[in-house]
Formats: sequence, structure tokens, C-alpha cells
Amino acid sequence: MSKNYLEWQGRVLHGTRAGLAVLASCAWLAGCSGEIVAASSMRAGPPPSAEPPAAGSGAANTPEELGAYERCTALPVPAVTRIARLTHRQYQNSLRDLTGLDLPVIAEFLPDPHQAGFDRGIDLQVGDVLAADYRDMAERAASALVSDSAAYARVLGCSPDQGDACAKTFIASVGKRALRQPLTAAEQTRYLELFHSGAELFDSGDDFQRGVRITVEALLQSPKFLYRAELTPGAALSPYETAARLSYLLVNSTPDAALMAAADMAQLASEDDVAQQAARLLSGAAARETVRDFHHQWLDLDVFPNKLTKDPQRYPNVTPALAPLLQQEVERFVDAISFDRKRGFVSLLTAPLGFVNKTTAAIYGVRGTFGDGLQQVELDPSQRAGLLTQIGFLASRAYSQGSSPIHRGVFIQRRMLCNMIPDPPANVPALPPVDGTTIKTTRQQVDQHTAPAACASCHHALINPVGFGLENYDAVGAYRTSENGVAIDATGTLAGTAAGTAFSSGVELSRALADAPEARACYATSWFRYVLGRVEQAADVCAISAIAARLDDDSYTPVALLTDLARSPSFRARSGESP
Amino acid sequence: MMSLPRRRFLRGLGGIAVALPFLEALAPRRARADAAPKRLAVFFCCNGVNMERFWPSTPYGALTADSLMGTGMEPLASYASKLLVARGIHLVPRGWGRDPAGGDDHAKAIGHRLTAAANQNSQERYASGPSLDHVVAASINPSGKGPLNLMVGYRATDVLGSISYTGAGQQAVPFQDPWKAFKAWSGVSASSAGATAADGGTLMDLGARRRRSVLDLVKSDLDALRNSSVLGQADKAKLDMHLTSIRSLETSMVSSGVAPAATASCALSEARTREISAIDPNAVTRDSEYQTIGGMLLDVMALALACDQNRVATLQWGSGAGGPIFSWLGASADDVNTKYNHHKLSHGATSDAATSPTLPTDQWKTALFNIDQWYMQSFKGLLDRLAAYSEPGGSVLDNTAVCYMNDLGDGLGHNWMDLPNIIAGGAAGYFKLGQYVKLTQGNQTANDTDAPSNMLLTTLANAVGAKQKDGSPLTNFGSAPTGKPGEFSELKK
Repeated sequence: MSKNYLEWQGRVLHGTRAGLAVLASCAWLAGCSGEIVAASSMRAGPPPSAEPPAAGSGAANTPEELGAYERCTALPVPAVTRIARLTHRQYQNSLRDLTGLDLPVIAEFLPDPHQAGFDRGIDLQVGDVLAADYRDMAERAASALVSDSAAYARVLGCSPDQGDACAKTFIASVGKRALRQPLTAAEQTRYLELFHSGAELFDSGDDFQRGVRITVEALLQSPKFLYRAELTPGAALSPYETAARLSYLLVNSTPDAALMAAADMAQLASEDDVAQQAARLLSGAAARETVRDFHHQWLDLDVFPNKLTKDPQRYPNVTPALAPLLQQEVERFVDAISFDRKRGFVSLLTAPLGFVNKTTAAIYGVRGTFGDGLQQVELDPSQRAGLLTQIGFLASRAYSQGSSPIHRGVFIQRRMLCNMIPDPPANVPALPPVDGTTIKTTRQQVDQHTAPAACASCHHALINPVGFGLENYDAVGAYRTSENGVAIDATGTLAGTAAGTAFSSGVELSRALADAPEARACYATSWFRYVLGRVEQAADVCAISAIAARLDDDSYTPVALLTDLARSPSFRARSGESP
Repeated sequence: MMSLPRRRFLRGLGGIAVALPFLEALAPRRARADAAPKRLAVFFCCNGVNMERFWPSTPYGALTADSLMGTGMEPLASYASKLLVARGIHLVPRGWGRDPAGGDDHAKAIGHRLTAAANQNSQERYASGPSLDHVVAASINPSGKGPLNLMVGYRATDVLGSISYTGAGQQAVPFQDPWKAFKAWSGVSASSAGATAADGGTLMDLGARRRRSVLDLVKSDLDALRNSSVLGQADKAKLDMHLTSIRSLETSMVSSGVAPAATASCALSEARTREISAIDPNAVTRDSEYQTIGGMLLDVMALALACDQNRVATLQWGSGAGGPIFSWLGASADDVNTKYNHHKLSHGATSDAATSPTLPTDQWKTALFNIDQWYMQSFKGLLDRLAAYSEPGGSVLDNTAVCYMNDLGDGLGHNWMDLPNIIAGGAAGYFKLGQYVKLTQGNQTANDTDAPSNMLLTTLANAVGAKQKDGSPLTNFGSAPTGKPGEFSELKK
């Protein structure tokens, strides 16, 4: 491990020891009893230990003065797969970057299961359906390439009139880009033989086009294209393996020319080299897509269409058809905060920035004239603060006629605090009706419903105190001050955190979350899982903690976060082992 | 030949010129007409049934059409002599009241029902082992290729999204689009692989020769990668699966173009093919398409089994804790079936979260009964389709073990005891058909815990001839410690 990384660790850790007690990772509240155990010690992989790492494991001893926290840096980077299959999006983007053609890979392929909570898991497989889909897509791409004269000329980079010289150039250049490393002499020979055989195996196109087609078909089915293979023995990655990690993990596609050039010159060995390339990759439009996609999945925006069926008498304007607009609102907000304003986690949870159209402006109570599209507005800062006060979230965690503190509280505990809460048992009685007489408010209803001891251990200890903070927002997320004539009581505490900060509104709840070390740790952990495509293990806590410790700085943007993640040993190295 | 957009594939060309490649592609793969293979078909429903009215009305023993009249199974009455209705099977290891931990019971059951493996963890609940269909397919499909996994309706992207697993934590995602599923195994491809030599003089078409050249190279690269000394067992297993998949591509490729002339029974009609190809891929998961897509997937499933394109197929109807609104079963706009989805009705409630009845009892129980009968009608549709294909030993149905399963028994109580299981078809004489059988020793099928579901999985696997690596029959399917070894002998002839 480089001295540089430790200095960086020391720098970002300054003054944050207290927060590290919760280990910056997901916490498990055993049976909702409030006992917090670091999840990393429960999952696969060894617990943090002071024992020296095995020789050759890639870890280094850490200076004594850095203290107990640094023990985790002495753990070897965990053994994870050495052959990570491309996700369908990575495949689609790679195809686009290699050929200049946009082919509907994601629409055509069967979706993959989610791993570690996101659709970017590194442990995906190739079964017979996908093998056939890969074959068909490779044939389709090759056919489309030779039919598109501009794309064809660009990809070739030489004139077919040169014959074999051009064939060799084409194989060397496209082969290197597709397989993300230079072809060996043996590979070059085999692909040239295949190229020549193409002339006999098609009934259309000239011989050169036939050669190109069959070569592209083979390259796109090569395991070196389909898997990010990391075969360098030991813990270090080769420059080409590092280039692939940088490109796929940060911007979801194949390395660009500059990255390959850096790998050619072995300029990806040091932490600074990697950080420099990460910053370069993240300076373009692809970073916006990464930040959008992460927040889309983290905030589970895909549930909106299924959760917006409302009482048509009371809420005629809120239907599942509004879902795409509400998803766009969240994505525009995240983009504006992260890139236009260059702010970070705190602003995501506190900024009263809205994107509304004529339908949602009415729900937000924003005056003015609006059309069908979204328009940026400032919202009332006494009523709205960031992600948790947006109507998409509030309305999709609510009933058709009323709010749902339980659904909102569970979401915050699970997604934003990474507290594991078990699902409710079977045969829970129905919520008693809010009848306006014996039960006047949703808060009373939920209190009464969850009063039995078996419920209270989760609900009173964790779920309700948080969910009640959003009681100022009704079934569609509109602001309210009373329910059935009773003033709203939105007081609560940030249960499931060490500080347990008290609040009396959704705005204060959001602020308390932004300030909570546990929420920062959870946000950092979620990013880790998204980027690395796996659940963290004990040794990864260093990388996560270092990021969590910087989230109190609102100028720490997602791009800066990603760059730091790229610096970490979890990103730049691997275990010598393979599962 | 240029690639063709999906919608225009048939419409744009039309006629016999296009129909012919279909027929060739669908020709039976087996060479010997006297050896009909055994197959396995799983028909999987969710949210339980109306237990009060589901089961046969006559005592254990012979099952007749009369046993089924007036029950949830009434649509199957004409098949009574080919059914085996089993009582008392429960999940391994848990049943209602025996599981101290809270949690979404649908999620726990879905990951477990076809795997008999514990949930991997208490959060995602993916199964910790492979499912029956994948284990059996690896053994009885000639190329070792995976089963045909299909699903009707909305699919969640979590554990509820599939009953099938290729291995621990590796959920197999099912096809939902019938056209996509059909294309995947029928040899229909939008690619140019069907081109033939201009002189027509070669038996193997150009596409097949080209694919062979390409796949030879791919295979040698995969072999080289697999032999890399730095890879561990799990990574090697991943590449083994990839290699098996490539070999199965090669097998289907060799048949393509040199297959014997097709029989008429082994193809969809041109009209039906056109209907399926015209489905809007973005609409396949909608409730409004549930009946239509369900029927198409049954066609695809039956055809794949009958034409020996795959010997194992599963069809999952919706997700537990959800399911469609069966509006077509509602007599009026006020009917609860017109208003509430299957899961809500299974709890007699107007909300997915509330789990004790709030609707009038007769209404939701009747609605569930009607839903049960609708699913049984669909199950009959599968049996009809399989029975329509004649082959040695009778029909395809006679050579297949068809099994109806459900993630729950009583949906209201999320009960994992006394799960509904109906075997049909018999797997070439393996099962004792025309029987209503109790598998628990005592009489309390809803409470006795001596008939764990893993034994049913063991029985089904052996019924269709699946073998362990050493060639011996399976002895104890799944990895749950509370499962039991052996088969249910009461089910066997």
C-alpha cells in the first residue's frame, strides 16, 4: 500500500474517530433491540484483526500512530471473483464505443438478477439463453457494422485495398480495444486465419467485409471481451486490468484511447496515476449518467409506477402515469446538486430545490404558470428539504388516502441508515381506520396499531420515530398542518443512530440525517456496493470510512467521492485468492 | 440477408418462404422414434388457495371426476385418472407458527420452494442452492443445457422474481415475452445465420459453418481461461457453465439445417406464430395481458417439451405478495375481483400491508375460489396441449411429470403447511395416478411435519430419470438440514 494512500487516510480521518465507532458500514440491529453490530463482522470474510497479513497478500503494515482503526488496512483485500461478466449496460456501451453503433442490447437480453442491491453485480453468469443472445447480438453487430460505410471506415482505420496489411491493422487495433489488451502473437495469427476463412462463409459483401464480419463476431463472443478478467497473479492488477476497472466501474464502458495509452505506458500503477485518470473519466457526460443511475437505484425510483394508485376522488391528478415525471424530478434534482451546484450529500438531503410542472406545482403549492415539462423552482425552505420531501418518495410510500409513517420510516432505516429491519410477521391485524372520532390522526392509528410488544421492538424503537417526522406530507406528498382538525405532530427522533437527534418536522429530520455519521456511512456503503458490484467485507471498511468522513463537507461532490473510491485499495488491488 | 425488425419478421415477408425455416428449426431432435424422453414441467402459482374448497371432496384413495366437482380443481375433472393429488407436504424446514423470525413469508417461500435450500440471508433471501429444474435439466437434457424458465405477469427484481436458481444466490431470470422465449430455442433469429450456399450443394448451411468456426475459437479461449492457475473453484464453475452453454449452442446448430422433415404437430400454426410475434414487448407484464400472455407461454412451453427442444420447463404465474387484479373474473365493477389484486384478496383485505380480513368473508373467499378455478383451467390448458402430441408411450403428457405448486397453502395465514401439489402425467408410469394421497403419517395434514417438500423434489427428479454425478438416483434433494432423505413412496407405482 502506498504511503500516499495512508496520508490520504490520515487526512480525511482527522477529527472523525467518534464516527468510526459505528464502523461506517451497514449495521444490523439484532431483533430491533437497538444493539448495533457492524454488519461487516457478520458477513462473509474475516472480522477486523490485528494479526499481520500473510506474506504476499498485498497489504502492508500500518504505522502504529494511526491507531486501532487502521487495523483494517492490514487485512488483505477480499477474495472476489477474477472474472466479472459485463453487465448488459456495460456490454451495450462497449458495443457503442467500439463500433459507433447503438444496438438495443438491454431491451433484447433477459435482465440479470440484482446483486448487493444494484444491477451491477460482479458475479453474473453466462447460461444458454445468454450465450445464444451473445451470439445473435455479435452477428447483428457485425452485419450492421459492414453495412454502415461511415462506421465501417472509422473502425477499420485503413483501406481494404491494402489487403492483408489492413486486415492485420484492423485485427490488432479493434482486437486490442475489444479485449482491452494487446493481442498476443498467437491470437493475432488465429484471428487472421479466421478473417481469411470469412470469404467462404458469407454470401454477401466483398471478401474484406466478410473477414471483418467473422472477426467481429468472434471478438464479441470472446471471454476476454465478455469478462473483466483479472489474471495477474497476486494482489496487484496489471495496467490493463486497472484500466478496465476504472472505465467499467466508474463510467460503465470500455476504456477509451487515453486510458489504453496510459496502460500501454504502464502509467496506472500509482495511486495518483489512478486518481488522475478517474478524474479525467469523471469530467465528462458519463459521470452524470453514473451519478443519475446510482441515485435512481439507491432511491428505488422504479417502484413509483406501482405505488401511485390514489383515491381518484381526492387525488385525481396523481396516477401511475405521473411516475416518469416524478422520477425525472428526482434525477434532475440530483444532477443539479451534484454538477450544476457542485454540492454533495448534505445538499441532497437539505436543498429546497424543486423541479415542477403544472401538476406537481399545485401539489408543492408553488405559484406561477407551468407547462407539461419540468421547470426549476425554489421551494419553501420551511416545508421542503431535499430528497425526502419530494412528492415521488412521499406519495409512493403512502396509502391511497393517507400517509404511511411505517413505509417511510422503514425506507429511511433500511436505505438511508443501512439498518437491517426484519419484515413484519404474518397475520398482522389490519390498521384500525382513521375514523375521525376515536382515531383522528395517522399518528394515533400507527401508535395504536404497533403498541403490542412484539411490534414495538421494531416500530417504537426504529420505524415510527423516524416515519412520524414526515407526517406533514399527505398521501400524495402535499404539505399539511392538520389532519381531521388535529394539528400535525411531526416530532420524532433519529432512532437507530448513536445521537438519536430529536426533530419536529421533515425539514429537521432531513437535516438530522445529513448530520448523522450513520447516514453518511450508509451513503458511502451504498456507493461502494454500486461501484464495486459486491457487498463490502471487513477490509473494505477503510475505503468506506474514508469517504463517509468527508460527507459533512458539502463541497464533496459525488465525482470527488468516486475519485476517492478509485484511490482506495479495494478499487486498485485485489486479493491473491479467487473464490 | 439483412437483419429484420421483430414486428416485420413475418408480416413483411409472409407465406411459406418464412414458415419453412420455422418448421425445420422445430423438427424433433431425437433420431429414434421408439425412445420418447421423460420431461418435467412445473406450473407454479402464488398466494395460496382457498383451502376450504380446493381439495377433492371424496376420501383419500381413488380420485374420480366426481371427487373434483364443486371444488377448486373442478376444471381438471376430465383428467382425474391422470392426476395424483398429494396432501400434507410442507416447506423445509418451516411452517406457520414454527418460524420464530419475522419476515416476508412469500419471499422466504419463493426462494425455497423449488430449491429446498435455506435462504442465503435474512435480507435478500435468495436461495442457497440450485432449484429442481436446473439440477434435473443438467442431468436429462442431452447437451446439459438449462431449463426453459417462463413467467407470466409483473416480475419483481428481488427474490420474488423467480423460483429458479442455477446455484447458491444465482437466480435464473425467466422469460416473460413469449416471442423472445420462442425465438431463443426455436432457431428463429433475426441474424443472418439462415443464409444458404448459392449452389445449394452443401448440407450444412453457411451460417452453421460460420458459427462453428467462431465458436471453436471462443471455446478454446474459454478453455485457456478456465485453465488459468489463478482461478478458484467458483470461477472455474462459472466458466464451466459458459462452456456447457456454448456446447448446447453447437448441438442445436448441428441439428439446424440437417434435421429431418418436420411433422405438422411440431410447429405452431402460422396464425399463432404471427399473433405471438406481434405482441408488444412493453405490454407483456401488464395485468390486462395476463390471460393472453399466459396462453402464449403455455404454447411455447408445451411446444418446447413436445418437440424435445428442452426436457424441463417451468412457468411461474405472478409473484407472491402481488399478482394481478383478475378483473376478468369480476362479475361487476363492484366485485372484489374487479378491484383488488390476488394478494389482497388472499388476505381478505383492501391493502397489501393489512393482513387480516376487512372485506366481507363470502366475497373474498368466493373471489379466491374463482381464481383457483381459473388457474386450474390454465393448468388444464397445459395438460391439453401436452396430451395433444402423440408419441411412443401414449402422449407427451404421459411421458412428462407435470406438477402444480404454490408458495403457500392458506394465503390468509401465510401457511406453509399442507401445500397444494398436483402431479399429472405420470412420467411414463412412475406415478400412481388417479389417486388422492395423504403423505403425513397422522391425520393432521395442516400440522404434521413429517412430509417435507424436499422429498417431493427428490421424487420428481428421479421420476424423470435425473441422476447424480456418479450415475445413481438422487437421494435427498436440497441442502436444508431439516429435509428428509428418500422419495414419497406413496406416490409411486
